[in-house]
Amino acid sequence: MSDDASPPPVQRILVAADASPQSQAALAAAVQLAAAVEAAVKGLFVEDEQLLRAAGLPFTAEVRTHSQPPTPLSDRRMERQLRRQAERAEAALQRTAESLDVPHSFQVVTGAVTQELRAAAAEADLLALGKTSTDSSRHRLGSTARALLSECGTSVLVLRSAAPLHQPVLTYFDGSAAGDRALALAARCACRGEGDRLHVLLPARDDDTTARLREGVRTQCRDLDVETNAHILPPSEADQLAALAHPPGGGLVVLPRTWEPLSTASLQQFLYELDRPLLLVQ
Amino acid sequence: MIDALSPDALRQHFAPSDFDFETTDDLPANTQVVGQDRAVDALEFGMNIDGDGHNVFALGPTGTGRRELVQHLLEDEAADDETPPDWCYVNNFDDEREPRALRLPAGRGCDLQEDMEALIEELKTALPAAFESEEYHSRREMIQEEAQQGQEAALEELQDEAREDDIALIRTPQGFAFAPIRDGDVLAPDEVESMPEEEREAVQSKIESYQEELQNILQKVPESQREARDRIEELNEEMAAFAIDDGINTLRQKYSTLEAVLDFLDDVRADLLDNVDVFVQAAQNGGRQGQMPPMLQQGQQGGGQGGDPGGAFWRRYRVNLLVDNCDTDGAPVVYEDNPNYQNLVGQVEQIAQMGALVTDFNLIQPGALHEANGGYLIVEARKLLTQPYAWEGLKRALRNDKIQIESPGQALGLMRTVTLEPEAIPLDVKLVVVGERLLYYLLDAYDPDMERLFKVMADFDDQIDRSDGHEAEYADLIATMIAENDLPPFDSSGVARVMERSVRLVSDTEKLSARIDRIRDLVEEASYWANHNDASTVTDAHVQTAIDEKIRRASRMRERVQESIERDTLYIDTDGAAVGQVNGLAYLEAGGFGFGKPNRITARTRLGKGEIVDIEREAALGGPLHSKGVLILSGFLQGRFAQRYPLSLSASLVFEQSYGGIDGDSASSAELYALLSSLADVPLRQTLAVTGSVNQHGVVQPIGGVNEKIEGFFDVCQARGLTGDQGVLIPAANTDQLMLRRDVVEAAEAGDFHIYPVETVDQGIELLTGAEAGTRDEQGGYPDDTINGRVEARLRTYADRRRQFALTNGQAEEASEEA
Repeated sequence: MSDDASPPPVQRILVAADASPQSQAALAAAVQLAAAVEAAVKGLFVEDEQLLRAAGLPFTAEVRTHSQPPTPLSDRRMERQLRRQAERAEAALQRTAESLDVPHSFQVVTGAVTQELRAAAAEADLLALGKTSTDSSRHRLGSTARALLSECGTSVLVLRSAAPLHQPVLTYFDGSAAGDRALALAARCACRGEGDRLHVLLPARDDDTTARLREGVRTQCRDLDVETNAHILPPSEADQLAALAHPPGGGLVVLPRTWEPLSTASLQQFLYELDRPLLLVQ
Repeated sequence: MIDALSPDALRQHFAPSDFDFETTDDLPANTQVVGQDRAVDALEFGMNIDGDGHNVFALGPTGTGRRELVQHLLEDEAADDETPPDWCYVNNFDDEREPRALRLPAGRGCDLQEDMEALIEELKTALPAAFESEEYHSRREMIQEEAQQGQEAALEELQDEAREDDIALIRTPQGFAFAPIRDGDVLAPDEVESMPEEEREAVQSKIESYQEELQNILQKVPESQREARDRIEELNEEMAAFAIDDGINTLRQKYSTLEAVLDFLDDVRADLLDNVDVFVQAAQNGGRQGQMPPMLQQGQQGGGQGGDPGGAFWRRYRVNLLVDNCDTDGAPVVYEDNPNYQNLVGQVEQIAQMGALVTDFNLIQPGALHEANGGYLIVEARKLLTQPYAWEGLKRALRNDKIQIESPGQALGLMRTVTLEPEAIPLDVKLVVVGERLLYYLLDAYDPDMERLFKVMADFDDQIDRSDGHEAEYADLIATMIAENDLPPFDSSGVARVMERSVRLVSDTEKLSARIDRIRDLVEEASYWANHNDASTVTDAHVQTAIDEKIRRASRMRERVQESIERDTLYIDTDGAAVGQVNGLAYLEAGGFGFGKPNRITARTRLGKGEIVDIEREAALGGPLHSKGVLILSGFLQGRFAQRYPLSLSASLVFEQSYGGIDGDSASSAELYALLSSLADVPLRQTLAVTGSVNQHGVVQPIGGVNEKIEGFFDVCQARGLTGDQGVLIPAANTDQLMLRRDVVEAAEAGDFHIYPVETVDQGIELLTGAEAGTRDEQGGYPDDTINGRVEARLRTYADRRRQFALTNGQAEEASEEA
């Protein structure tokens, strides 16, 4: 348990914006989260320079369907398309943020998508993005998301679709600094949502440690109007990602990044089985 | 001179002591019909015979209780018959315009209807639940995942392959593109331009080949999507079947012996599975209306909650129980009181919905033929024939042995709008039509179908023989009426008086009236009068009051006539004597009430050519029967008196003060008497009235309305005060019709009024003149002082004068006086 002052709050949330419906969901979730923790949202649209460069080449063509021949790309048209996508994303952010009174901003850059996002994430406290940037199967994890989840130093919220508001929030608390921050975020999200419920999973330890952990939970949640249920993970399931695969409720899952199973097991498989928004807290 | 009838012969008397009961309470009161053997036997024959077309027509005068009797007999008979099956209409899933008929054993129809309703209710929740379940969603998602994953795997493989070849697969806003890369970055345009020609071409051809491969992958997409769809369809059917089969199989077991129901259940199951998309879509839309099959929409825009496609959709699986014989004992006996086309054959109702008329099999309504199927149907002929198309519709069903429900417009081919054509239901019914005689004979004469369809006629009589058995039954019939109408009991005197009235109604001493309705009316009215006088038992006094009051209600005209006679507006003499003048008797009827009235008949005779003028006929006031009567009496006259010399008289006969029409020959004997009196110059007694028709041989023939005529004259005499020598001459043959009022009989008993039964004209003329009629002697002549003699003398005088007149050319003074 940390005996510092209260953990640094999340103040800047970055959202990776593109044209996909998953990104839209990430945007909405980010704004919700911002409202819960009183942060500001920044949307970042990266115009893929690889794409623009490819569009400029003479022999690149867009393959759409099997029946029509590929249509040649034009860089000017590509620019226009990308710009339009950016405008739509910005408008969506504006709508959602204004409805919840959340301060917001939007930026468009051109470059390599993953790099730009990584750089921008370093300036933010939390990054929200969609699992893939296209309409994909549940199983698929996009390359950008994969890269950012594993390398990024910021907390990351990744999802396929928004969690229903009335579902309880789930978190894991082991007393570490990250666990503390995760708990704090989870509690604020829970009291924001209509469900008002927070499920906390505790590791199986000796009784003293468990008592301390419970106390820590109570302290965090004291000032918030949220119903807290603590469950202890049985030893056989502890340290296993699978334990969380079908947890109670259907809402947001908030986990400390430092939790061991996250580094050893396949994140893609975990995300596939979980199929709920996941927030990894640094 | 013949004698008057004994007072005993003037009225039939039923003695209360002849009955073996005190009041009607002592009687069993279970008689429905008396006599009518011919008709009753015909009915029983008609009911029992099985042949095609042996329907029954019960004809007779109205008010003989035919319909109730028929119904009663049929109900008795039908109670032992087999109970007919139930009939239902269900949806024909192959062609909804032609609903199917289902036949089920009696009582199982309502079971099936209820069971289907229950099944529908069950499915309304089970089916949506199946498609909202976790299991369904995850399995469906799994199928879609697999399809998508397959495609993604292929793309990834291609991407990896291309990367090895320094070609990147990039996503574009609307698809994919291949671009050459070096060290992970797409080449810049100038880098490409600076490339050597062949290298550039190599890159281009590589890209093109990858594009082709990509297109091949994309080509598989529709196929894999189709496969996924098929698998989802299979999943849908599997989930639906799982939800449905439980309920359906329970029903299959319950109705395992009924093949038609099993087929129906199979059809229902197949249709539910066919329509499974409706439920899937409804579940996915979460309550918004999905596609609806073209059935009725009952204004429910919301379509129900959750996955329910709306109440209108489920109508297709319901069962329309058309004929429910669950509570029927034996065969049905149905009396259709309003036999119009729809009530007989059934109809398809329609509902107005958004400006159009819509219908489905649930709106098929049964008719009387359906309800009576397997049993008996009773209708009244007049009601049936006055309804347009009802007779034709009924005949068609009988001829074809099946009930086809269609509107008259459809039947006539007039309507072209789309409507239902329900499967015809086989018909097995015995029809009894109750009607007037006239209708039967008209139909028999003009409708060729009558012979084929109504082979049994049950002919009801107006009268019942007065045998011993029948009299006792008649009393019980009265008791039955009293019981059925909840009236106070009659004592034996009351019953006796009713039976006397019954005899009077038919004017026949050997018969009783079969007009049950009139007897019933009398019984009810007598009860009223008894009640009016606070009596608990109805006696002959009350019955008499009822009779008298009824007559009084109708007798305004008769009273006016009597008044005119009394006030000498109409001249009728009831004493003294006059030549060539006699009291004839007329019968008048208005509004069902008949009464008699004396009418002065006069005759004048003179020299002439032998013609007898009927003034009524000349004035076009006499009908043909009247003219015939006059011609007959002149035939008699000529036959008796004109054998040796021509009839040289001219005579005129008239009904004095008669300004309406006269018909019938009942007064022809009176006219003859007047004529004879005028010829013989002998006065006729005005104390007597005469009725009777005469034939060419002078025989007096019976007439109608004899009771009313006698009473009519009696009333006039009584109003003036009976003189003791008044009376009426009636034909002897009418004696067995006498049922006179009691006051007339009392006067006869006191010797103040006399009824004379006359057989010949000679008898009559003797009574009227007091002189002998006379018979021909050996010389062929009549004695001088007889009526006939005097008539003959006068006629000979006329003949001589006429001859003289002709010879002397009109110089009458030169002719000598003849004796």
